[in-house]
Amino acid sequence: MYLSKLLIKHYRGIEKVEIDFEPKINIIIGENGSCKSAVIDAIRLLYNLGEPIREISVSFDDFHEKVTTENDVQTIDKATLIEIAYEFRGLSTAQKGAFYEYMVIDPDNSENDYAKITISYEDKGGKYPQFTYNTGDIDGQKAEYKTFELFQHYYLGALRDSTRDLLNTRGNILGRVIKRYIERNETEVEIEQIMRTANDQLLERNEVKETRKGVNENLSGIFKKFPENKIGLQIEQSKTEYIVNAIKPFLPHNRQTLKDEGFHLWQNSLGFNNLIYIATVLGDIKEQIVDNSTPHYALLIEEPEAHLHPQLQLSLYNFLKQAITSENSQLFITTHSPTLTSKVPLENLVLLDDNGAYRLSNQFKDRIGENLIEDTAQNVTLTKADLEFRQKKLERYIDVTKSQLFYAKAGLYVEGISEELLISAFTALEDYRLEDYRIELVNVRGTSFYPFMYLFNSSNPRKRINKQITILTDDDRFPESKGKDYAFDRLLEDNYTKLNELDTNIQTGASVTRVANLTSVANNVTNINIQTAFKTFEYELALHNINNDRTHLKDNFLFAFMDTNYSAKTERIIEYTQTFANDQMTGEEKRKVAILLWKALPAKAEFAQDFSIHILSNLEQAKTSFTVPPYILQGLTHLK
Amino acid sequence: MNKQREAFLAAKGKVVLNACPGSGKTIAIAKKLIKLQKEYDSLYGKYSGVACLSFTNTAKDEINEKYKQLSGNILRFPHKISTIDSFINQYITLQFYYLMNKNFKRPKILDDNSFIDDAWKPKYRFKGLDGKPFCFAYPPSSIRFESDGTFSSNGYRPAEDKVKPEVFDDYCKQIKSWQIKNGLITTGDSAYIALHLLTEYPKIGNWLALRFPHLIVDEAQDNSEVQYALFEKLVEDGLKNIEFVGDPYQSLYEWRDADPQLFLEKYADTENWQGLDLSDDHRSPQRIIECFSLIRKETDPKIDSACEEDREIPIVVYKYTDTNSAIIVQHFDKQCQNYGLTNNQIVVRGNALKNQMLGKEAEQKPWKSWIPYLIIEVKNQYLGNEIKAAIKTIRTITVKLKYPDAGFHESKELENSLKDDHLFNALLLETLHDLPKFDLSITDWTSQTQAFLKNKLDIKNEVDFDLKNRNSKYFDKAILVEPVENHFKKPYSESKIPITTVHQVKGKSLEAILIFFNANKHKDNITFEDIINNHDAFPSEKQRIIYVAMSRPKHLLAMAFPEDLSDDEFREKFGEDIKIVTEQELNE
Repeated sequence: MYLSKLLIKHYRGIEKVEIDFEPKINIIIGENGSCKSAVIDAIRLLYNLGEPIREISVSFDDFHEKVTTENDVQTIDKATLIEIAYEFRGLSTAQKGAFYEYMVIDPDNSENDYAKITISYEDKGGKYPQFTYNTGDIDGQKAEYKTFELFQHYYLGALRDSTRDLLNTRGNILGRVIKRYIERNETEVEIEQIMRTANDQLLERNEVKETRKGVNENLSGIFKKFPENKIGLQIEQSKTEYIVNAIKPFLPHNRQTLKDEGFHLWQNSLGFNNLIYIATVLGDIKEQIVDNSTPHYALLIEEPEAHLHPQLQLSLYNFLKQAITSENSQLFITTHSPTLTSKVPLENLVLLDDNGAYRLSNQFKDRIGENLIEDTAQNVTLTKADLEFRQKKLERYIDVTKSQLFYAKAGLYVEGISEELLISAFTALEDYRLEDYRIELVNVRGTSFYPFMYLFNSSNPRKRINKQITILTDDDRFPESKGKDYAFDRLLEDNYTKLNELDTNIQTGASVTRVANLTSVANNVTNINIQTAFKTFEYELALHNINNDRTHLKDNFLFAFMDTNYSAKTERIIEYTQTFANDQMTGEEKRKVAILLWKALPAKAEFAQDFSIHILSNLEQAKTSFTVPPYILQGLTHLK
Repeated sequence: MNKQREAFLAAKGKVVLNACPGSGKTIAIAKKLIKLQKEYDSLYGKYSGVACLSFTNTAKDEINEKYKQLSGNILRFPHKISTIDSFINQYITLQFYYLMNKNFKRPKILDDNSFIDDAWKPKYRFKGLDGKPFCFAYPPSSIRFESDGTFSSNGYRPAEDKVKPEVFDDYCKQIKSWQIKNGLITTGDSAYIALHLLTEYPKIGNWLALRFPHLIVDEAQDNSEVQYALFEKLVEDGLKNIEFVGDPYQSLYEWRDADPQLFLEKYADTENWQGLDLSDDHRSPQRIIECFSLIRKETDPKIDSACEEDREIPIVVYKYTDTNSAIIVQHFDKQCQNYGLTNNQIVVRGNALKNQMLGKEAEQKPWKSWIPYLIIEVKNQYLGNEIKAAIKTIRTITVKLKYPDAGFHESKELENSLKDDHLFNALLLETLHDLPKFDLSITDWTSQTQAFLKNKLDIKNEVDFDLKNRNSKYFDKAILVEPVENHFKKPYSESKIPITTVHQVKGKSLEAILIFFNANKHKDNITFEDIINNHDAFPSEKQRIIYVAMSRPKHLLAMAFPEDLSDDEFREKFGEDIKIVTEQELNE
């Protein structure tokens, strides 16, 4: 069985959230403050109910506070009821019996049956919140408390101290694993004999005997008439639970024999101790399941990336994936690690934000009703299979850098490296640092924005990840402009015939269907903003950086940059402006000058790199004499 | 440990155990529970177990008690000792009620459904062939589901020449759907609904059979047809072990649709069921066994006494008149004291006779409100150490006083929400303790209690019991100055021997019993003539009542008959060795 659904109301930062979980692995992601830990703690609350000593409980601070501002007056509404409902599916036959009082039959679909428990905490004053629970789907039904034992868990917190956990006697997992083997093999007597022998041998030693004698002499000096106050000495009691608790991991120098001298765990790196701890826990889970297949085992790990370098994070993930093979164990991880996020299939990712929780693969499911059209020319709606294919595509596109989009508040999606490099520089001009607004700049390296858009474009608000998205794309009118016929030098020939021809073609050219397609996929949702460059990004760049006065062309920051580095070309441009009647250029003349400047730009990546560095190192100058194309500014404004 | 018990302990699968009075059926069940518990811990794990179902709470408590005594432990999860009704409610009806009525989360299961007669308004619309409404002859509260899907009014259907069957069915259907829609059902309805749920959703039965792979049904002779159908459905759904334990002669719940024939049929069906017996009576000496065996069929196996101690106390017969019943009670009291018998009870059939015995005049009804009568009862419960029941009742009273306008549902809801309020429960306990004493005159007690409750429970409105001020059939003004306790007696004799109905001694072992037989041959009355087995037929309900009463005592069986019966008649029936108490002895 597995925890398939979690419904949380009024717990900490969560007003209300409903989360679907995968049977095996769930990676919970989201920016800071998106309540990832609250979700983990909500799971822990249930799994602690059957523990003899609870690690977590609900206090008055855990009740959700809703802050609303009306007419500048802030009101804080503090909830008085925390409610958390858990639904489990995929129960085995034996589990359906054990969880009988939890069982619910869906009246609308009797094949869909599941086990359910709801716990709640009510603020009724008093010393602590009042706890109650019910099982199944009716009020007041309470399965026996004993059944809470069926929820077993291991929790590795974000601020865990694995070294201490490994060495502590309380909750000693290593000891539990050993004890389980001992019980299964029924070898308590033999194990206890080992300790008895060791104790006996030590007691043979004069050093020990003398010490004991000394202490007892002193004791009888104190108690005089009460000879029963005497001590014995031993290494440890010869009882199985004491012995197994005395067994501690260490790091032997000899890695073959794993014996004799070695380093103490305190001398080991935190990261390695974390891994030792996780390995021990997994051993315990495995053995527990062998002994008892009825309970559900949840392994909860917060931020496993702590102390682990990226490759090790992935090794750990791959290992966990293989280790969690039992039907009854389920893994919940919170992470901020883009490395981890980028390698996990979307169905295993749960994204949390202010508005809710999204199982990312769900963004590609059940959307037929929305009649999504990607290809506006053919005008066909996407099928289930099409959407599945988009999901696959997205999984392929997401790499370490792109996976950061899940941790951002907003996203700026661009076609290539030029935009990526230059827009970062432009935002510096506007005193608009993307990090401050937690905007992630995503370079899709091409024009395939679509797979990303399905995350954000649902017309169903509960399905839509409501992040602000701007897509910057080129309308790529007259794509023949790339041809040799329109190279910089050809434009100058024959009294600028080709230049005039190119300008006319661009002005009359039609934008490519992509713009219509993107608009269609944006699905009329307001959080997606599509900004198109007239022709291309570079064309727009050139167009908006031509001074009206031909004698002041070099006043512009871009033109000056070109003039410094590519004077052979800028001289030809200035030469061309001499053919104009006046110093003040007409719109058409400016356009043509812009075309020449655009064609004078060196290879995309090279230019973007050099020019962005130039902007950043001459920021004050650029601020006064460089113009960021307006469509970019509009796109940025949408994200604020 | 005799062979019969051993056979029962070893039996698995589908078992019917016919256990005679005093056969130690509770011990046998407790021993079986201990055995099964050990066995099942390894077989089914920690989360599946045995459910032992009894008919009444008293019987349930006894099994619990016996189990604890024999094993030194309390029977815990995953095993369960419960009453049949609450088992069906808890594990089937309540849990899956939403499958009957999607919008209703939790229905109320009513002990007393008579208010439906007032609440269900359309009742007058349904008319018999004489054109008159038949809702008085067949009140809504009497309508029940039968196991075959038909309806009846307490087991009966009106004659077809009085009410058209389809009209009657329509009437029943509408009542039941109104009840289901409003979540106001009786335990009888609950069993039927559970049967319906098991039929519609066999997986419920599958799961329940996994949760409880073994059911032991105690007092199975009192199971209704619907309950039997339900258990059979569970067997169909995978329940491997079911045991019906009971004594058809002790079936006393015909009014609740109990049918001992169903038990007998299973016992006789050797193909599908293992019929076992416990026929040694460890309680009574042979002379008492002979007495109640008068009612058994001749073909039944003979019951043998296996009692530990026979004090050779003869069977005692009293002859009562209109005036001497109080003296008979005193004489019985003294007898018990002389013999050193401590666990004794006096039983009667019907309240009129009970009042007569307690020396009470015709019953007085000084108040119009029902509350003061309940307060007297609750105080007596409290004094008789039935604290839990007393708290429950005073809570009901308090809710009624505090929220006089709350409807039935709302009141129950309020009671439920107050159940776990410890401060409130403490207040109720204080209230019970501090209630004005019964030695006050009825007038004083009324005014003091009214004021006390208003003050103690912080009630806004005035508390008014509506003390009558005019004489009527049930009320004589003169008694207002007399103490309350003169008219509302505690239900026990001077030396605290409880005086109850026979139903309350069911399943009990007593040292002595005094049974008052009725004089008139009313259909519900028990009489001397009923102590017989006619033509080897299975005895009627009232004969079974006598059977239950007579089979209780370990030492002393005393019976009081009307004086017009002759000594010869007694000796002919009960033998020469009985002790007939003479009038002289009575007045000594």
